[in-house]
Amino acid sequence: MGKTVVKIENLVKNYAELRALDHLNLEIEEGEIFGLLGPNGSGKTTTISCLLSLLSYDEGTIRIFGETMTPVSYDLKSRIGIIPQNVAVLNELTVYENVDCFCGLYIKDWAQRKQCVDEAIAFVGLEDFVKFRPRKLSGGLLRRLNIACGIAHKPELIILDEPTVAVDPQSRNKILEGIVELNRRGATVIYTSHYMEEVEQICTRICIMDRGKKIAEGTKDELKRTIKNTETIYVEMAEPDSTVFQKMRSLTHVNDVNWADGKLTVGCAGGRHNLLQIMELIRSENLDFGRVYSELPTLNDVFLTITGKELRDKNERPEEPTAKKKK
Amino acid sequence: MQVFKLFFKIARSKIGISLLFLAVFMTICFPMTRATREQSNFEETSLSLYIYDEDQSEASRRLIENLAANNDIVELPHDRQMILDAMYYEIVDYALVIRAGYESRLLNADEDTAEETLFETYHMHDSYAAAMMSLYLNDYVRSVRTRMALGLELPEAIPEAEKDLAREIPVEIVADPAKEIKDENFTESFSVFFRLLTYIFVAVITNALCPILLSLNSGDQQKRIQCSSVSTSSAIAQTFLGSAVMVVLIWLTFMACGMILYGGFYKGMNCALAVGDAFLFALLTAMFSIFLCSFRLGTMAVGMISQIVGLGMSFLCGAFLPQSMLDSSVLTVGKLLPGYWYVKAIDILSGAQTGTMHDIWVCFGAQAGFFLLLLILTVIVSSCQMKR
Repeated sequence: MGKTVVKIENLVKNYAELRALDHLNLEIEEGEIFGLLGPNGSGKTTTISCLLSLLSYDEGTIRIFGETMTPVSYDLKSRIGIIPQNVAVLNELTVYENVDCFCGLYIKDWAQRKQCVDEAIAFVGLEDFVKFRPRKLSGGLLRRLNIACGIAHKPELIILDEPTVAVDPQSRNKILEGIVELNRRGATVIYTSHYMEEVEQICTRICIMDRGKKIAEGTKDELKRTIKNTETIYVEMAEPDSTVFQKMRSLTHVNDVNWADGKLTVGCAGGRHNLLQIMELIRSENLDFGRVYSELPTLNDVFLTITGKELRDKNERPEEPTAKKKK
Repeated sequence: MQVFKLFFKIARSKIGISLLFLAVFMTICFPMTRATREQSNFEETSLSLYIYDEDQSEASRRLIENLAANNDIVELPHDRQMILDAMYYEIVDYALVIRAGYESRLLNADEDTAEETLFETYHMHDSYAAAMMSLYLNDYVRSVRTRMALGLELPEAIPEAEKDLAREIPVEIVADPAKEIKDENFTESFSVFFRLLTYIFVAVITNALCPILLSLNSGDQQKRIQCSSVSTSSAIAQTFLGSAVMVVLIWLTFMACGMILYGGFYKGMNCALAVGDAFLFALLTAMFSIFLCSFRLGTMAVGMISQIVGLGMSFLCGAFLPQSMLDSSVLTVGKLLPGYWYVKAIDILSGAQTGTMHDIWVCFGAQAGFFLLLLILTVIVSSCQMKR
């Protein structure tokens, strides 16, 4: 087990009557890519803002690299890189100047800074655009510039707040590969996103938040095991009669059976031969069928199972104040 | 000093627009200053006169000749309605009917009623033409009568009187010496340059400063700075220092341009005070820019507000038109704006208004007061924004 990089204990943050963070506890180990998931208003951005001391909090402690994080912990801040959700670059400066300026907030030595800036630009693949101003860059290139500005000073802890919003698949892959590479080089990464497949693809450990609380935490496999249906089998066929439904439900490991739109959906738990059992039953009943396929649960299933499927934006819980500013 | 450097890296991209403002300003200033320099305080003017001679005497003929020498005589049928119409359409400024018996009555007419008994006149009520002609005719009649009273005959008295009236009277405007601080080194014509700075400083300084401050303070850029190892107080101090240096550079540039118009280094106390007045106003404008940016508006909105404030203040405070030409109600509103006090100081220094050194210090003090007010408001607005 590695060293603890971030330790959040009993963190409470209130916005007037609203409790944005409710006794949150998190521990992030060195070398992890830690995914922070949650529906809108779940407290992800508030957690990150408290972590960076951009927001004060009401209760709890935050320790980074073993030291208490405060607004004046400048030594700690120099070891952290932040990649905000919105592209935070200066439109008046070129790509090179942007990376150089933000790197300059951490590294004063010119020669050392130049090397870091060159490396960061090469890392995100913007070598051909160094003299371009941000307005002339595409959305994907802008996102990469945003990342370069946050990582140029080679931070040990990198916080990425939804870095792939509105990015095409090619650029997204490039960004995700970059994050994994940064982690491979030794950086601990905290990653928030709404894209489950991204989190599933790169995160070594995931925390799902809802209403300011941690509701699940673990590796993706650990999280998938927490839900009832670990396998879903689909069979294209005409609607079977109720006796077939009853027989199917009585099979071991089968949790639920539904038919809709010419497709039978069977939710199963654990077992190794679920598909075989179901096919044997269909054959024994002499039922015609078309395509048959099986799917393992995704993180999306886990997320929806844990947080619920209803729309959150219409609920009573308002957006977090920091998110409001980004409009 | 990384934030300070960042400030000037952004500023570098704004040099173009600032130079454009400078070029436009200088293009406007050169002819305006020259036009004011060539203007004298008095100029000769002539009136359009309609004259009808009922007397048909030698004396009336000489009077008509005398008036025709300096005025334009308009021919009209002698009809009251036509005369009034001509006056309405401004074809005629003043209509004079020399009554029958003018020559015989010239000597004997009662001095107080001379004009009424000798002439019948038509003129616009309270017009300057009426005042001028009335004065001239009275002077003419009085002058002829004086010479005839001294024993000259009418044919001799008239040329003497005409010679007397033709003499130019030198005019010198002498203000109350106690209130006079005018000096020859800071002329009224050159003060046009300083008056126009009211608008130019607002336009240039807000357009140069606001985009930089907005860039540095916009949500996520500010977050990057706050998350860095640069302390918040240091970042704020560096931003203020950057703003101050930039304002000084803009002020110096415009003062150097002023020297081109002036034709060398500024001389005398009044020039020094005008330069100091401009510096105060530049600082005030910078504070206004910071105040404007504390609302976290967009660059376009800030640009529009600065144009409205700049133009509005310039009109209300006498930057484009001298304060002496502005209505008292306009000036009352103007007093609530810092530009009024800046322009007033310039006017006093150039002699366009009378005033003492005490008045100059009042103007400087008023500007300093506005600076403090804006500073307090900026702190209040910024702290409200942070709480949100």
